[in-house]
Amino acid sequence: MSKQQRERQHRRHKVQGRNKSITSRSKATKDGRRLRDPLPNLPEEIWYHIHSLMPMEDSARTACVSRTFLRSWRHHPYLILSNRTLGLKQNASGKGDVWAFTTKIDQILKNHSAAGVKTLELDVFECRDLNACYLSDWLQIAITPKIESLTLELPSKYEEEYNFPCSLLFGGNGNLIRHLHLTYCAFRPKVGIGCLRSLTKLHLSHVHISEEDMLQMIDSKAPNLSTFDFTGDNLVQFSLESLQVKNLGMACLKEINFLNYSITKLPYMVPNLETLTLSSYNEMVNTPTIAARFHHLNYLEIYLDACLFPEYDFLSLGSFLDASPVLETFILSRAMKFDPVLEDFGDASNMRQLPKHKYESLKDVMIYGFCSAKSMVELTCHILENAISLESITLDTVNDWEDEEDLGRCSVAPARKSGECCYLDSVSILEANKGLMAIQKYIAAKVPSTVQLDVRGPCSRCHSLEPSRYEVKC
Amino acid sequence: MASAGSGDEKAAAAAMITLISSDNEKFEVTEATATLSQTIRHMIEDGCTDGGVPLPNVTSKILARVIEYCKKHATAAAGEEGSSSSFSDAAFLEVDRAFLEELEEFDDAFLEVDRATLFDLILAANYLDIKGLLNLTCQKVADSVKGKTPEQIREMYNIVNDLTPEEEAEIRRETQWAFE
Repeated sequence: MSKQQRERQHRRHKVQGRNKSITSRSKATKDGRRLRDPLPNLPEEIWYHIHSLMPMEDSARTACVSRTFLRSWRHHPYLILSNRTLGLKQNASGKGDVWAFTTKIDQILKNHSAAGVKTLELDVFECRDLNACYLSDWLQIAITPKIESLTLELPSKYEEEYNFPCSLLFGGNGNLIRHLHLTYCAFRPKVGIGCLRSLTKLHLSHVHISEEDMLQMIDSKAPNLSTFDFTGDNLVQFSLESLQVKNLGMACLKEINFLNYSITKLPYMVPNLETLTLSSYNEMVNTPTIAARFHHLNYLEIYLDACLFPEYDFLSLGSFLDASPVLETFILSRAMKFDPVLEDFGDASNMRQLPKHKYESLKDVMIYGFCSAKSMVELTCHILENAISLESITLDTVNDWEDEEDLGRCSVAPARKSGECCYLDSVSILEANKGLMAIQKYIAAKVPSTVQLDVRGPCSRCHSLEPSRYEVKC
Repeated sequence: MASAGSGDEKAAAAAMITLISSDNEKFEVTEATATLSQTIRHMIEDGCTDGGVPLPNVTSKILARVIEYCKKHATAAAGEEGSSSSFSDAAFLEVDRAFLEELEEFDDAFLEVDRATLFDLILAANYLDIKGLLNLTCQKVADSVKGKTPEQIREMYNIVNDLTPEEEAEIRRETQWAFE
């Protein structure tokens, strides 16, 4: 065989070899024989990518397959380190084994230090005695130029004790960060958050910020910030003249008349809001009518805590609806009181009516903790009369905080475990039943046939009145 | 999707690209289809597609599948562009939703291949830099390890265990939490 012939044959062999592998594969499947697939090798980077598409636990579980898999796990870019993923086991004294838990976190983060994580969710809320040095080490590892999302849930005492290491994030490592969620720490961004150019979502929950710092932070607006969530004791008088903020959530636990503040100030401060969630813990005045508008607001959720003055006029919440011409979803959630509202206001002719307003876009309304207070009934009737595009209205006389997925009571919702409804004392059960009667008497007949009415009341399993308790209370 | 179809035709009239597989088969595709591949997009931008684009790493069998994927998804991309201007139009949203469902069904059916073909598709998607296809195929592998033992995974994907028993035991200790 000449050299040329040999080369030609070699070339043909190579081509055939490639084709052969394909045909032999298809033959194997046709014959149904379990031949070992001649699988091509994937480059290590592709295995990294495949691992990044697995849940963290799956990636860790497969680390012992091979060295490539081990390195793939150590490059896994999304780390969710919490009680749920790592398991905070109970030790002999009934407390979680914090030492074992933090050792796991420490090991995972240190093994990831070479790769750089994109997402870190670190929930050490239950580690009350966590040494802050650990925390600083971990953040040092996690906050690299690759970080895109950081969620930190610290023990509650850290609110004033632990300074979030802003310098780590603000010194150029924060260029890609899109989402920052801090719970229980002090946040003192000396240079403002304006340098976080990619930041779109900022959640600050129980974060200690001095007024001066907050002002500075908000004044140097992050150019892409569109979502801002804030939970804290007091309202910080921030001048959030941010045109780009579209989603705002605020809960101020010690603030008085927070709804009043919000409706009078927010339309000017954040005029482009599309979703707004407000939680008021101490509302002592009715909600005023305003001239300004939330021109783009399509989702409004209002939570009213139990500390509401007894004559609070729910109908005054109509001001929010009047101010939101394109609102599509309105959710009112009211903490059930221990002092029941047992109003009987005779026939419907006693009801007040607000000036007519067409709510042309309003489609879905949900009221949790619906009660028989006259002004609550009036608010509901007002919505039914003016929301001309309404598709559904849910009136739930129980505010079931255990029902996170909004399924309804366990006795009627097969998806919920039996006995999972929230606890209600007998007074609240009475209140809820009274609410049902008010719906029957004043509201049901006013619901147009085009609107789906979903009425929910106490659970026949979890909320039955024991005769003895009932007698004592009444 | 009438607008998407006519857009496609316009593109077809404007530019066709010839792709040449490793076994010398030629495939004529529209530029819209071809440019789902960033690799080819860059070649077009650099003006080096005259006389066809040789793809020495992709067989005709795999290239045919890749083109099938790109055609479908290029139409989807054109549809999205076409409807974005009338975003508020409920009818358009309805069409979009139906089309997305169809696309999902297509993707599911597309992944009904043996492991060797799946790996070949991954390699082709990586080489041609087609992000959607790479994610789709890699996700299939990522999902397949769920609930499998390390030994089963090695078996499935012909992976040689290059760890010593001591190393393997150590890694197992380190990741014990993931097994609980």
